[in-house]
Amino acid sequence: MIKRVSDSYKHNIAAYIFGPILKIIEAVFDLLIPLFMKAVIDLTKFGDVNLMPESNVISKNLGLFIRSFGCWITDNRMLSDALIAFSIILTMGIVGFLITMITQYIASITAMKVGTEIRESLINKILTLSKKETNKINKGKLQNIVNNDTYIVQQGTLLFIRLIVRMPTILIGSLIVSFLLDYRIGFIFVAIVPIVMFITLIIMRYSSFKYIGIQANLDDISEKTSDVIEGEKIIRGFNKQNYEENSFRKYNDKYKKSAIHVGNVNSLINPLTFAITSIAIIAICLFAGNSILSIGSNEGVAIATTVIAEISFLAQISFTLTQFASTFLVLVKSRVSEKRINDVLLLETSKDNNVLPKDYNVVLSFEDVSLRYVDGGNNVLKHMSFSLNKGESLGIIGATGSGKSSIVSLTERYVRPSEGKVSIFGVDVNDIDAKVLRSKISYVSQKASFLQGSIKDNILMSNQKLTDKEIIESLKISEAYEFVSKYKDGINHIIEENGLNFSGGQRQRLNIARALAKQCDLYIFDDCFSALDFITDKKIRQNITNIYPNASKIFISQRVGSILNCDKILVIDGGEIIAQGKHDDLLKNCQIYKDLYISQKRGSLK
Amino acid sequence: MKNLGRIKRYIKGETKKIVFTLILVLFFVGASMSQPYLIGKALDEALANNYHAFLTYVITCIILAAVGIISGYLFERLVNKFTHNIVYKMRIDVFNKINSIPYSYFSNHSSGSILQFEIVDIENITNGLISLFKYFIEGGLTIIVTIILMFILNWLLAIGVILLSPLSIFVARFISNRNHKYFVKQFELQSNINALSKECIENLDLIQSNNYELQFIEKYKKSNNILRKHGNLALFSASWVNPSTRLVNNIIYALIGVIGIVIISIKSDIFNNLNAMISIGGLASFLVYINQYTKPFNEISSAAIELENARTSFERICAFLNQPDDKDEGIKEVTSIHDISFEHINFSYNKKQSLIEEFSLDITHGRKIAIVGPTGAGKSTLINLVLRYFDIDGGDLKYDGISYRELSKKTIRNNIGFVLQEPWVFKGTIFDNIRYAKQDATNEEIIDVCKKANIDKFINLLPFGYDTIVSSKNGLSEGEKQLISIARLMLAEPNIVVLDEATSNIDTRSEKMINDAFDKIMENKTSIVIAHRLSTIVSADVILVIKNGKIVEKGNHKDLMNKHGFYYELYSSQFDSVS
Repeated sequence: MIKRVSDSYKHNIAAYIFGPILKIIEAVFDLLIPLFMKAVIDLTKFGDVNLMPESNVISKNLGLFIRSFGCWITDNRMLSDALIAFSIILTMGIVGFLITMITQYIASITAMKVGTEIRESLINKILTLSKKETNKINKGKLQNIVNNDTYIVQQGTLLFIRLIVRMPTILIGSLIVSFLLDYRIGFIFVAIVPIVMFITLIIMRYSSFKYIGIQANLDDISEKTSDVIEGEKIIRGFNKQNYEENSFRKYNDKYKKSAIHVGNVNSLINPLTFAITSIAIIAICLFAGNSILSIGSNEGVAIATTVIAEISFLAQISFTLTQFASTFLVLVKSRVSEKRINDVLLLETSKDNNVLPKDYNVVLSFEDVSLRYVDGGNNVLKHMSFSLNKGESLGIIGATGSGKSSIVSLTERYVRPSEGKVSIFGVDVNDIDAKVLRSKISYVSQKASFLQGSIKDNILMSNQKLTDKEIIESLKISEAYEFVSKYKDGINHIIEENGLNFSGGQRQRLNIARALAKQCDLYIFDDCFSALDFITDKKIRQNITNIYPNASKIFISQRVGSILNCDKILVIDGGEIIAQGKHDDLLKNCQIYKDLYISQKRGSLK
Repeated sequence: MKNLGRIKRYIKGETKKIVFTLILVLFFVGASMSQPYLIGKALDEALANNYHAFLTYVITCIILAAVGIISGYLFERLVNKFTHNIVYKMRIDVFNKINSIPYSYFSNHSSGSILQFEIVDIENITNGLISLFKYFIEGGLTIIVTIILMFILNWLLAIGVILLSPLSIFVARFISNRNHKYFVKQFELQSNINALSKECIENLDLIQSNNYELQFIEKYKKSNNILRKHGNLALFSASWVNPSTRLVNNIIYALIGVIGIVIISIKSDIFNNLNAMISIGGLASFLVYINQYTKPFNEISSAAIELENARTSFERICAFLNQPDDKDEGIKEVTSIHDISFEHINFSYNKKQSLIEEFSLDITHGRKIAIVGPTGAGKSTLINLVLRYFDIDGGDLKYDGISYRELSKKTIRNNIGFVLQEPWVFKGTIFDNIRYAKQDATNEEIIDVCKKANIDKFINLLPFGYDTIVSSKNGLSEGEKQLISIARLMLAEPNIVVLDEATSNIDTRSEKMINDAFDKIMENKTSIVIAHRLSTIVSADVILVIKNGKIVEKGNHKDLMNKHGFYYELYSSQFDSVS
């Protein structure tokens, strides 16, 4: 578990140092090869090292080096030189290749190591986030950070190790060598390298900046399309096909326009690089030609061979520069991703003080609690106060969208109150140890959700120690065993993504079974009975009372029938508690409650 | 090739650009590849002390460089332009097909697979087209021109290079094939771990409330480590490309260079007689060509994979586009519809199992018809038929006495407003979502409608009220989405209203208020209501109880209750727990 991305770099510091260093060897070899070629041509043309012009220092030395291997073919010195040079070049090529592959290997394993470590740490961190934080960063962005940004940082590491040293070595090396070969040609090199570098960088920087925009345009197209697929019935029903086509065209136009724009800008890179290298080559040629013409063809050979070597360097430089530009961009992107990852890893998750529950009589109390998910936005809960005594049951009833579920989020501490105080098990919810808190609460969500796996896997989630028999027992309490037992594989039956292979009612019964498999002090049922028919609803509630008579319970519902027996009932409307009390009192005092009751009561309809 | 027609259609309007592109690429490759040749010639002339010839070559070189720069730039620009023009048309075609394909297509295909046409497949085609021109054609041409120029320079060395070419081809193919294999595997594992991350983030509540974090991390670690192992292989195998290209280049470079030197140095008559002599300038040019020789091989082999992907994607898209359109044979337009009558209708989703048989029903102006019955009885199917999402198999369906065959779907749907079982919310503000039914509605009108139905209370609890941006996956519960859909319908004020479980996730009190609001709006209008919760429908003029596609009971609430039949049973079971 790392605290920031750079920690992971530190763990692999050796790879970041030695990987690139090894690359120097190949780069140096790559620079030497054209020089050997020049040397051997010079040797051939001049016949011996001593006959070369004084200024031709490199060829002289390399010539001596070649000759130091002796003479392999005695009757043809030149052929022997050529063969030796060939062997040297080949050896350098192969050795360079092998050493490079070591670096490539180091780069691959390090990149994957870093990527794996970051990904794992992110998931670790995310599992500690509260609802307010996930609301702020938003879940889609979190997914992008775990999946895409980690990948980009991984890619950054890969390129860093592979190329960070090779590129400057080639660039600086070829500059030095061209100065040594001929300082005048060296100046031509010095002039063009920064220009090419500058142009490619500017263009790529610009286009990658624009590329983010293109990606957003593509996301719009994707979102529009999936909205339309989902709403096809409604679109046809409202005869909105033309309207949709027009609004899609807008997105498509935008995308096309920006894609063509970026493409056009990118189209500049190759011709511009070609233009600049052409200028360099022609300049070298003009300059060399004039020198040859002035000193005569005999000594001019050395200049001609220099040109051969220089052109070879030029090719390497222009390749390296384009590579440099794209690598640079990946590294820039990687820095950006690194920051986004760090933003998550360094999130200050408001620490709890690990206070353990005390002896308590009041399980849960809200004192003037308000809540908002977006700072500066509207409040979802407004000045709520109520309490729940140990062993008692609390019913919460209210209209769709009145804020009932937010009460649960506060109780489970998925969010903390924006104002006011929530106490649970005798301790301020801000201070209590979250693990202990959640081990004492069992919560059934409104929308049944499952992890990939079997029914058994999902029930074991809440309590790992259960035997198969106990699992079946909890399925029976939630009236789910009746359909589970019909599967050949019983509790090992697989729950598909989002539980789509079960009906809504079946999903909800599995969801309840999972919560009931956990023995704890407080059970919260968040509107989970509404997908069930009334008889099953009643049976399950009876089972719960029979099996956990002493536990405290909170029932959230739209059905009066599900809560009317509770010791206390809260009526919520528009984020506020408008009444609380027992069923009979509420019937007398609370019009909304009465309306609800009447709307659900048999025979009172008309 | 059966999709030739489509290709022609897409290329139409771009032909000039494409032809011009092909001419430009010839210019570009010719001009840029002849440069080393000319430089070599210039050097030779300098060595031979021919000042004027030297200068001529240099000037030619400058002119050709200019030609190369301009044609290269225009070439890339044009490729870019017509590629995007082509895929633009494809995108619109796919989009319109989604809106015009028979609705039954959506029951057999996942939305993900349809979305893939629009995003993944079209991206593949874009990449394929660009690869085709920029790498395939340009690269192929470069190889050909290089070989020709090498032959002009020295046929013996050129043959040497050609003999060594298989080495380049072999290395390029070996690497790209292997890469492809490993990358497919890595991609699969990567999507695997992405799915796991997604699961974690989406079910954060569930995991946290069960203190399941540690177990989940164990699971995650396992997948992560498998990904690491295979990722190592994939990354490593991809990293062979540049070094081995350099190695091959170096080998050919050294070999040809040394042979060239031998030819120059030996000055033997044999080479002379064979016309295989080479000058120093010639050797210089030759070595430049060798340095550039392997690059197009690599590019072509990776472009080949992209082309292949583009081809399969194009075929997939064509198969989708070749689907027949939803039939709409009726042409008659009417201004209003109030009555609907089913006459001996037969219908089934698949031909084997009939769902609705000999179904007849008259719904007359101003009546409220309710349909109840167990799941799978065919209630929603009737709605699908009324709204013409599916065609009936037999019988007749008449709107104000006119057969469905004569009326256009548009005119039918213009007259019917509806809220369906699965509410639809698209990305946009609450205002946008409600305004969908009536484009020119003002904000005040919208707020007014919401107030009337008592919907605006919940909207005001959203962070930014009516201006809160919502989407299908973010921000709203199912019941809240239903509220939005209802507001949308109320704004439209159609002649006939169809409600299919429109309030199933809404609390009963809000439901009652909504119904009261509806009753006011629907005075003298026709309505069809399907509801699970029977409290909604007691006021209906006629209640149909449907079972297995047939009407088993029919009458108003009172009659049916007195009958003590299936309706009575259903009704009683619902209020069991309250009374």
